[in-house]
This record gives sequence, structure tokens and C-alpha cells, in this order.
Amino acid sequence: MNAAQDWEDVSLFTPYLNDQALMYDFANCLAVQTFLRMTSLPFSVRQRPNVEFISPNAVIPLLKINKTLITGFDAIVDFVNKKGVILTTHLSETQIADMRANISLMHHLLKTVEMYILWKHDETYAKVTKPRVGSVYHWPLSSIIPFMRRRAALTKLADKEWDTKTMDEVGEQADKVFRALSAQLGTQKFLTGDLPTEADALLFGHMYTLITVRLPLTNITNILKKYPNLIDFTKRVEQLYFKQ
Amino acid sequence: MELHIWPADFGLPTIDVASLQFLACSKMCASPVRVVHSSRPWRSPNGEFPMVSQTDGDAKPVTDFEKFVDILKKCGQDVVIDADLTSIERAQLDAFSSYLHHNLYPAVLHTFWVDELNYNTVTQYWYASQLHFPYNSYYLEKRKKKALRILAGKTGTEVIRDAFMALNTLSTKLGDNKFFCGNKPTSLDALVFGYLAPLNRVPMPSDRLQVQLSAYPNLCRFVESVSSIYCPVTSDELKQTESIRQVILSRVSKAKIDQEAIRVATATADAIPDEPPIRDAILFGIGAVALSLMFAIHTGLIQITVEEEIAE
Repeated sequence: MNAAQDWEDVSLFTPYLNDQALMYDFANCLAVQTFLRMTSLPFSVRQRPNVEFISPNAVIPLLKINKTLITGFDAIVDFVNKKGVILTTHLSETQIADMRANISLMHHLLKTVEMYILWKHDETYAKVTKPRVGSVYHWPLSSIIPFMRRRAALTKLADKEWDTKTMDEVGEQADKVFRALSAQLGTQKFLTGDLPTEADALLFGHMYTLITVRLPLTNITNILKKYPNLIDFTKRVEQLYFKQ
Repeated sequence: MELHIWPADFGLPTIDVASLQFLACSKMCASPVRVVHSSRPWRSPNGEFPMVSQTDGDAKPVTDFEKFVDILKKCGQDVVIDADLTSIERAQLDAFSSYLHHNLYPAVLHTFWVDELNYNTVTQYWYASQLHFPYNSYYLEKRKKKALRILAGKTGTEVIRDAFMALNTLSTKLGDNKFFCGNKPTSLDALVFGYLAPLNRVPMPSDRLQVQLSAYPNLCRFVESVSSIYCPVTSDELKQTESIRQVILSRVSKAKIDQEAIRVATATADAIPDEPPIRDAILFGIGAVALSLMFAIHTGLIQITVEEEIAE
């Protein structure tokens, strides 16, 4: 990565957020947008149907600066940090350790919960996942590609030993994540106090997705409703960064 | 309750990460679990150790760490694990266990199962000597494939870099404390112990992660203290595996010497550009000419007429 480049002509490539992106992709795209708005760096969002093929390692979203391509939330945050724009200067080392742990909680546990619902739950797959993934292809690709992605996703879940979990156990895992994040947030403005960090961007991305998503299954949204401070946080961040 | 785990070795009650985590956790709350050292993992529902079989009749054996912790909490001992934590500490504990599972565990898997040199020298030999042929080949292949899938196409360098970061984070978090959440052990301590102890104790020929770990004195001290307080190994257990340990140690030192020899050999080989041997060139020439001739004869470019001598 060439961190010495100037920050100009920056665009963020995302899938069609309203019709194509799946929950976790949507969350990550939104998190990167939020993070860049927190740093007040200028950028433009471009929605393309084939971002996963534009991206060199199939990771979404994709940030393009002149001729450099950076993919994924972590790498983009790293890159911006290397340019000297750091949101965590006010934190102690222990707080940074906690923040990394929180990011990992969302990146892995919450994403696995979302994956389980999207790919493992039959009704959700038929009504949400398959149409969304297939929306940008013509027949017969519109059925083949969701099928192949589903097979890959189910193998991933099996490796994590999530294939034998019931929906209730998945709900418990989601509850664990929300409880942890809610306890960390408490009554503060952001996770680590009055100033935003990348963990807040990621939290906003996931929470906004879970609150606004339309699924045949409402158990995760119902669990989230038990933690009003997370919902207030989401509304506050939306007001701060997404209302002109 | 019975806890089935892999046999003891290298001064640890077992060298398997998950087995160590289960054992440490059960010892921390002084639960009356009977520890069974076994090398018959096919008895477990998912074909893996550790497994906790429960006494009350038809309850299913447990192989999941969180469920095991729940059982330990409910079994009515004096010491209840994770009982005195505030909600924020509990939140951090959950966050850290996820962080370690995704940033440190892949590197441990890589060190033991994916790194060819380590796998051939230590892991393969150890498990193969514990299990019977032909089951051991099947089992080893299964574990190795699973480890590769968990790494999900990341290269060794990326995985190790994540782990260096994770070790740094852990060391900061531990600071000068005895345990991660103050003076009392928690399930997080059991998890960390499980990840770090095999790295700390088992000798390996390719040891980048181990060298990095030894650079954090507080983490090494943590492993030593947990190991001596909660997971002491009796000399009987050590004697049982004495012969295997000796063989592995000699294999490790041999592998290190071999590796050094290969490095020296490749360094000198690169220096002298090897010329193609003249014998190969001649053989190739003969072969080429023969083929061309055969082709020419076949297509009729060269015609051979055989004049038969009439014997008279």
C-alpha cells in the first residue's frame, strides 16, 4: 500500500445497497462510509452490480484512490491511519485493546449470526437472500450463483460448528453480542466516551442494518429492542453524519 | 461428569488447545470432574476431544466451551466461575474471547497443523503414535483439512501478523495482573492458557510465533503460574509419554539441522548457475533426430524400398 499518495479522486465502490447487498455487506459498506465521514475526508460512493469481481480479493467494499485499490473495513481503516488521520489518539493502550476486541466481536460473531439467518434459514433464503443475490444476473445465473454461494456459506458455518445450532442458540449468541456492546456503551455518547472511533462506525453499520432490514424472521430485531441505548446510539449517529 | 481429553505430554496435561481450555476451566472452579486421558476420539459426537459426558442418563455429551462453562456454573460448587464480574467486565470477556478465537487461534492452528515442517516433525508423529493405524491417517488428514478451511485462504504471513498483534494486545491487557480480570481466574484465563501453553511448551522446528511469545515476559509468567496452580502434571503421566517425547525432541533437532543444511545448500546452489549436462543434450539430440526420421518415413518424405534378393 502506498500511503504517501494524496487524498484526491477517492471513490468507494459498493453493491446496489437497496436491492443487492446482503446484511453483512450492507453493514460493512455503511461502516466504511460512516468512518470516512467521521474523519471528514471527501469521497464519493459509486454503486456497481459487480463489486465483488472488481475487488482483487472479492472483499466488499472497495476504496479507490487514484490507482490504488483497498478492500475491506479493516484495511481501509489501516490505510487512513497510515495517512495520519487517526481517530484513536485520545485512547490508552488498554482502551485500544478493548476496542479491537469489540471490532472482532462484530466482525465475526455478529456476521456469523447474520450469515446463519441469511443462508441457513430456508424461508429467509428463499424470500430475501436468493432474490437479492440473483437480482443482477439473468436466468440461469440468477439461480446458479445463489445456489453456489449458499453451498460455500453453509460449509463456512459448518467449520465454525454452527450448522448444528438451533435458531434459539443463534439468538443467544446475538443477545451476547448486543449485551456486550450495550454494556460498553452504557450512557456514553460513543463506545469509548465523547469522541467517535472506528468501532463506533462499525457498530452503527451493523445496528442500522439490523434495525432497517426487512426479514421474514423478527427474532434478532426483537432481541435488539431489549437494548434501547444501542437504538438511541444508532439514531444519534445517523443524525450526526447522515443528515445534511 | 467425565472430561475426556488427549494424553499428557511436554509438561502439560495435554497438548491440544481445546482440551487444555476445558481442563483449566474445570480446575479453576474446583469442579469434581473426573479427567480421563484417552486417545479414542471417535466416541465423541463430533469425533473430537475434549468431550464432557454427563452423569444424568441421556444428556448429550458436551463439546462446546460456552455450554461447558454454563454447566460448571450450574453444578452448585462453592467457586462459581465468572460470578463476580461486573456487566462491563463480562462484556469485555465475551469480546476478547471472540477476538482471540479469530486472531490468535488461526496462528496456533497454522503453527501446529499447516506449517509443513512442524506438522511433519511433531504434530503428525505425536497423534500418529497416540492412535492406531489406519484411523490415525484419516484423523490427521481430517484435522489438517479443517485447519486449512479455518484459515480461509489467508497466507501464513497474514495469520502470523494478526497473531503478533493479538499477543501485543493480550500483553497490554494483562499488564502486571495475575489474571486478566484482577485476582480471580475467569473463563477468559482458561481460554488464553489453552492458546498459549502449547506454544510455550512444545518444541517446534519453525518457531516464529513461539519466539514472539517468549518476548512477552508477563504472558510467559501467566502460562507458568496457571500451569503450576491448576494443571500440574504427575510424574506417572510424564513417564507414559517419555519415549515419544524423546523421539520428538530428536526429530525437532534433526529437522532444525536439516533446515539449516537446506538453506546453506540453496544459498550455494543459487551462486553457481548449473550448466545443462552434456549427456542430457546428446540424448535429447538423438531422440529428436530419431523422432524426425520416423515422422519423415511415416509421411513418405523418405521412401525406403526393400529389394529382396532372390535366393537362387
